[in-house]
Amino acid sequence: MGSLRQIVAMTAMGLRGIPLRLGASLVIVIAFAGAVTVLICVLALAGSFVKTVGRTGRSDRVIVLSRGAESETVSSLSRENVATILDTAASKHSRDSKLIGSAEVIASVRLADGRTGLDTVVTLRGVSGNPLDLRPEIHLVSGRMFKAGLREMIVGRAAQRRLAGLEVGSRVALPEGDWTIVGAFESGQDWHESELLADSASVLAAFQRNSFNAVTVSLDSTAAFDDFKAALSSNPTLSVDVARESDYLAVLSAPTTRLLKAVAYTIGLLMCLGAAFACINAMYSVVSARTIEIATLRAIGYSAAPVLISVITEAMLLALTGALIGVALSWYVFNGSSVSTVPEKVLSTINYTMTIDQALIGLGILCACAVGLIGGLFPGLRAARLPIAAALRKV
Amino acid sequence: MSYFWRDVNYLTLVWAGIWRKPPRTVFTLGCLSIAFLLFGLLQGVDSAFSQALLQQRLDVLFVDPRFQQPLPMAYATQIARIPGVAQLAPVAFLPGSYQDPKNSVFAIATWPDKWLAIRPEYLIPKAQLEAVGHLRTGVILTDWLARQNGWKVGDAVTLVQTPVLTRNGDTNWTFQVVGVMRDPDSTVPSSYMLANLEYYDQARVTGSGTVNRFLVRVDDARHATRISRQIDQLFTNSSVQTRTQSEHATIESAIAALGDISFFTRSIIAAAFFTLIVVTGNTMMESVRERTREIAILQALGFTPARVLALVLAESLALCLAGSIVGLALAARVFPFVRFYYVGDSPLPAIVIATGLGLSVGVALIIALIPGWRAMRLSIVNALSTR
Repeated sequence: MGSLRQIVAMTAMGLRGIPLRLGASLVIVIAFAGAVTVLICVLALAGSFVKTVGRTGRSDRVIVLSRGAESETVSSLSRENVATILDTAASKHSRDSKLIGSAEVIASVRLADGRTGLDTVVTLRGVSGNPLDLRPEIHLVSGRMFKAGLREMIVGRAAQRRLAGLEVGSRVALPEGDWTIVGAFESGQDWHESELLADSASVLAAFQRNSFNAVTVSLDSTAAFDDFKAALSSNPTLSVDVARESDYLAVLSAPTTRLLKAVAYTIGLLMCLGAAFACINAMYSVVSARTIEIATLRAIGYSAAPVLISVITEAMLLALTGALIGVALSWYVFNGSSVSTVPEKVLSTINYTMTIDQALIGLGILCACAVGLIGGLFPGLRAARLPIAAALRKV
Repeated sequence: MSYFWRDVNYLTLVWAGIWRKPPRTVFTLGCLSIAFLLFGLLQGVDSAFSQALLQQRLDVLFVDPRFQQPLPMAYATQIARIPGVAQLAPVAFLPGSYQDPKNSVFAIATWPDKWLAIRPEYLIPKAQLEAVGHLRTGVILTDWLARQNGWKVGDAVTLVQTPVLTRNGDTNWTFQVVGVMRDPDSTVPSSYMLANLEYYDQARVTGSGTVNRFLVRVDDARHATRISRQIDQLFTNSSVQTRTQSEHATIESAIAALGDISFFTRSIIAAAFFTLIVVTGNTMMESVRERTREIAILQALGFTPARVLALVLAESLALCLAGSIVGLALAARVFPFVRFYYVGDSPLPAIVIATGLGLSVGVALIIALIPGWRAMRLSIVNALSTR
């Protein structure tokens, strides 16, 4: 009981002294504000990309590519193969076959980036049937759906935000003449929001192609995958790879994810280490400024533990203050900002929104507390071990 | 002689000041090293991009299809007829891998002699260049690719997992290494091989008579824009339109497309450095404040205010330089392992090290400013009378 009172008294005394040692206290606050801002920013950069990819792929949708193809772009399926795949899907399915599969064509369009004015490659995805059937996450936010057989397309909001000349009603130049953008869609901030969608037959005609890139099929349930895969694999007329959409996208985005994570962890770790050093330094100076005060208290009967705890508490509180400023700063500056990158092997731009969510904020604060604890520990130990007589003789 | 001893004593004074509180010095050095390590790595990536860009030529044009269709080979004669076009080489890309699917190898099917005429920066023995003309399946490797896979002249190399079907019914392409080319000035690793377009075109099942790109060298870089426009105009009404850009502009777009790297790099460096200056500046101020009496004694002994300022400055310089040297040395050790698109395997650019050292001097000056000024203006009487 007595020691608890000592801890409270000691800590309160330390905290009341903060204004007197403004320099050292500010150093800790600023160091942590900087470290947490950077930490949250780099983690959000990587995390938002992973989330955007994760939101795109569903485990009950299947993508069929030609064997060995790493991505839709390099895959190629003939009309006969596509028909076989869709028929197989229909036979495994209880719903109308038209609703469940889409033979897709991937073409790319060069457009000017609204910010830099430089060329950016955007995916034009030709889909068969109504894209809303296969991908219910898509919903139009303005305009209308494209009509099959016409030179019309709809544009994702993420692409629209980033690139110039994609407003509803504007025209996009393609090989056989201009196409009209008739609508804009949102699809829950997923990958497809960076794309243009159109009718596959029109895209094939415009690019004078005769083969599709991939077939995406929606299954009755996640469990139906093995059955469907076995059916396609055993068909001697096909030479295809079958993968769940979520798995395909995870593999496709893996190199970029790895890179972004490596960068985030390296930079985040270094910033935390820097903050720890700054904190240790500042707390040493706090302890040395409080030498006489601590020695006096020890002389009148306070034990060593409250000294240690009060130093650590002070460090952690200052760290926490810095972390909160860092959280506010990173949220204010970076939350919702649009980032674009071209993942390796994908060749077209993916735009995503940097989101700073509760998990990241919690992580930032947790890191700051942990680093603050370490930063207070060593100076605290020194304070607790202070030779009382020697310290008091200085007076 | 006396000057010598005076200077030695002066340095001893600086040294003693630095190590007044060893833990403080160590942690300050740690902070500084981390800041300069971050600076070295991030600025290294940024500067490697700029270097990659600088190496791109303004007088080399890429004639690409406007909409990713195959380009008819027949375009070559039409383009070559435009005044100002000095050299032309059609190019077809054959991506594949060797043994391990992760070990990707990129083949460029072209007219090797013309290709090398457009890129004279590559050096190759004349006999090897002639050899590729005589052997249909011959290829020339970049030295980097040869080193990476341990290939040498005479080896047979089979690319697997290519997207192009051969007349043998599979997608495996076998070539004979006849030469190795080398660009002595390049810091960016380029890893590809040049194959004979005639052989490639006859051996593939689909797409014969088409290529992915024409490489054009113009006689004068100042005419590049005009010639680009002329090339594109030639094919405006053709089914396959072209889009011609200088190599420089193409790579610039590609780098910009990697994302907002520069923006984030600069933000992080700025945040790290701001934090650093505040932290180290405070340490310095404190270290001077602690020594108020000592400095007053020095002044009473005849130290001029300028020498006191120099003392503080020397301390701060020593700390910052030591921190930057440690940080930049670490960055230089780690940087070759950073593989980031156009960057990889290359040493940390010297300009980054130079900038880092310059920056550390700047940081030292800023840090020493306030404490040094205070020390200079110290009133000896007041300082000595307070305890």
